[in-house]
Formats: sequence, C-alpha cells, structure tokens
Amino acid sequence: MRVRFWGTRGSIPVAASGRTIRKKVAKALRLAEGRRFGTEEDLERFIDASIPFPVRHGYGGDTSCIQIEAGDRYTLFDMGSGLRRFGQQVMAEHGPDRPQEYHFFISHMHWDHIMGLPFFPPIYIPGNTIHVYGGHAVSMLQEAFRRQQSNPCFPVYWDQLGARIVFNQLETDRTYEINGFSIRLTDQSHHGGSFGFRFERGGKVLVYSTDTEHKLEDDAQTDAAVSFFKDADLVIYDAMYSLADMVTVKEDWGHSSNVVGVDLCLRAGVKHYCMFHHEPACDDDMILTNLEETRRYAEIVGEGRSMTISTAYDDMVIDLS
Amino acid sequence: MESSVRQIADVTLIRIDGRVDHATAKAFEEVIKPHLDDTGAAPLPKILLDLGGLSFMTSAGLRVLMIAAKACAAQGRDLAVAALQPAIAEIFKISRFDLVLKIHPTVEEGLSSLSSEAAVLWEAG
Repeated sequence: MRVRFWGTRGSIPVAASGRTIRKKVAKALRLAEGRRFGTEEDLERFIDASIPFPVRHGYGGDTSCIQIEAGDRYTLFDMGSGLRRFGQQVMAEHGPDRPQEYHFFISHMHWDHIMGLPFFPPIYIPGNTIHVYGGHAVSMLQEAFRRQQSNPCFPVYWDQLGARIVFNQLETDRTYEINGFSIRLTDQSHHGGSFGFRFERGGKVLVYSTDTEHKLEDDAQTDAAVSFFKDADLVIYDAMYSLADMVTVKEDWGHSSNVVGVDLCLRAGVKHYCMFHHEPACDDDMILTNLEETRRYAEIVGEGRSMTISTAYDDMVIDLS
Repeated sequence: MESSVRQIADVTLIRIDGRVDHATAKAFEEVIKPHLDDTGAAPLPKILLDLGGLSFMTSAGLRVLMIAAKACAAQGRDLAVAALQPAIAEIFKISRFDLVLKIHPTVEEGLSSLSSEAAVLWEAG
C-alpha cells in the first residue's frame, strides 16, 4: 500500500507570496556562496544535501486530497484542491478515451474537502464512474456537490457532468470490503459531523482522521479514538493547532493538536503518526518547527517507546510495506 | 501523583508530585477543583501551583491546568505555576502553554509576584 499526498493544507489553499519566494532564494544563494557546480547532478546533490527542506521544497498549499495506491482502481480520501493535480496526472496517463473508476472517501463536505471536484477533468468525461462514500446521508452528500456546481458558485452545473457519479452512505458499526480494502469509519467531533476511516489490506493498517476536535475531558471519545487507531501502521491526523490554541481561542473550531495526536497514537501503539491539515497561517519554517517540537514532545512523553513522526507535504509518498 | 495544599496569606499553594497523564488527570483535577469553587465560602483570591515535583505531564494534565486558568480568569482571580522541571518546561513551550499561563522559575518568585505578604511568610518558614 502506498499513500500519496496531493493536498495537505487545512481550511483554504495557500500559495507562497513573492516575498516568501524571495526569502527562500536569498537563503539558498547564501548557502551556495562560493560554490561551483560542474554538472546538473552536482547541483541537485547540493540542493538535497545542503538546502533545508522548507527552502528547497516546502510543504505545499493544496487542501486535503490523498491517494491510496493499491489494486487497479483509484482510491482517494477527500476532494480538496489537491484533486486538481491528481486529475492532471490521470488525464496525462489515460487521456479522455479510456474510462476509469474512482472511489472517493469523504470525511465531510466542508468547502476545503470538496472544492477540487469541479477542477477534476474525469467528471466531465462520459464513461468514467465516480463512487463517493461518506458517513453523511446520501442526500447531504449530493446537496453539497450540487450546490458547489450551481449558479452563482460555478459555471458548469452538476447536471452537465458526463461521468456517472454514485453516492453511498457508510455506517459506523459495519466493516465494508471495497477495492480490496477492509474499511471501517468512525464519528468525529466537527461542525456538521466528520468521519475518520480505517483501511486494512495485506496486513497493513492506515487511518485517516482529519477535521476532528479531540475533547480531552471526554474519556469515551479518547477510548474510541485509541481503539480506532489501534496498532495502525500509519495514522494521518488533524494536527492543525497548538494545544493552547485548541483549548482557548480556537476551542470548538473543530480541529485537534499536534501533541494530542502524539498522546493518542502512543497509547494506540501506532507505528507512524503523520501530522496533517496544516494551519494556513503557518509558513514552511513554522511547519518544520512544529514537526521538530512534536518529535521532542513524543521523546519526552514516549519514555522509550518508538514511533515515527512526520508532517505531510504536497507530493509526499509513504510506503506501507 | 501526590499533592499537598497550604494556605499562605491570600494564596493557596498547591504542590503536585509525580506524574499527570491520562490515568491520573482526573485525580489532578479533583485536587484543584475545590479551590476553583466560588459558590460557598469565598476562596482565596490567588492560586500558585508548585510543580517542582512534577516529573511527567501529557496533554491530559495540561487541559486541567487550562480549566483552572479559565475558571480563575472568569472569577477575577490569579493563577500561576512555578518551579517547572526542564522537561515539563519544554512541554509547556511546545504546547504554547507558556504563552497563556504565568510561569515563575521558583515558588519564592511566584509568591512574590502574587502577594508580598505570602512571600514574607514563606521566607519566614
């Protein structure tokens, strides 16, 4: 199973400003001062070895969209703005004449999780089939997508789409077999409701849990999250806020914290905790600092327990093998 | 987790020793809660948490501190913490609790900041 991140930002897409790019260029030039590069390979090696990740790459600005590569049909979490780039890739790979089947698992229908669909070319092509799964009622799922592609929000209306689009409501007390995955979902605390997904295949376990505000005082919620994450190989978790923000000014905004993710994942025996849904106000340096601090927190509270911690970035790939 | 409570002039000094995590956070909350209740006899206007003996704390314990800080703020009372061990101080910084709680390097400095009378009594032993 391979996990490919097409969009990792929370709430709204962001792009680096000219000022930010200028600062990155200045940092890179300083680091390269006095050096000569005989070949392109020399230059590439220098970039990888000597330019910090926030300068040479950054974390990206597209909103939630993650592809799970396994089996012969496309499987994705959410349809944030990152879906646009995924659509470009599949169009380049297959062109318009080879019908494909796509399976999307939608955490919820807030804007940043569905805004990529109007820019996903396969929806306009007859012959394609798009399955949309979620914990919300089919009527709510449909309404969200219809509204998004209706006047005055978008010029191409829902009824003009060429693909066959099938909505499916999943229930939290069942296990589903879809695309070779064994799938469960769980209720999460978020305005309008959201759902986390647990996918199992070939002995590997992946959990996608975003847009969830973990109420620390709610023992039942904590126990349910630990049980849902239990022994997962990878948990992709909403780490949008600092804990102080989460319990003060941003209380009830529907998101969790980097350190809460550590505590839950350590208790659940998770192997790899991936921080996700980055605060749009955070620049690349701040996201790296958050990662380093989160690792340090895990080192302190982990008391010798080992857990990989990463922070998601657009185009990141994680192999679960 | 163990605790002890002293009243020094107009300050309630609560000392916490040991570990506060998901297993002991409720007990930690029970220690602090009576001092946040302003419905009966008037509580002392200031609370200082001596965390010098606290060796371990997770987000579950930090949440209790935030509940206490919010309750005190709503009642117009002061709450501060003191004497954090280095690892606990790091956790406060990582969680950004250092930006929302008053932190003093020592109990003496915490008392001095809250109440000159309490500081004098503390120094006198």
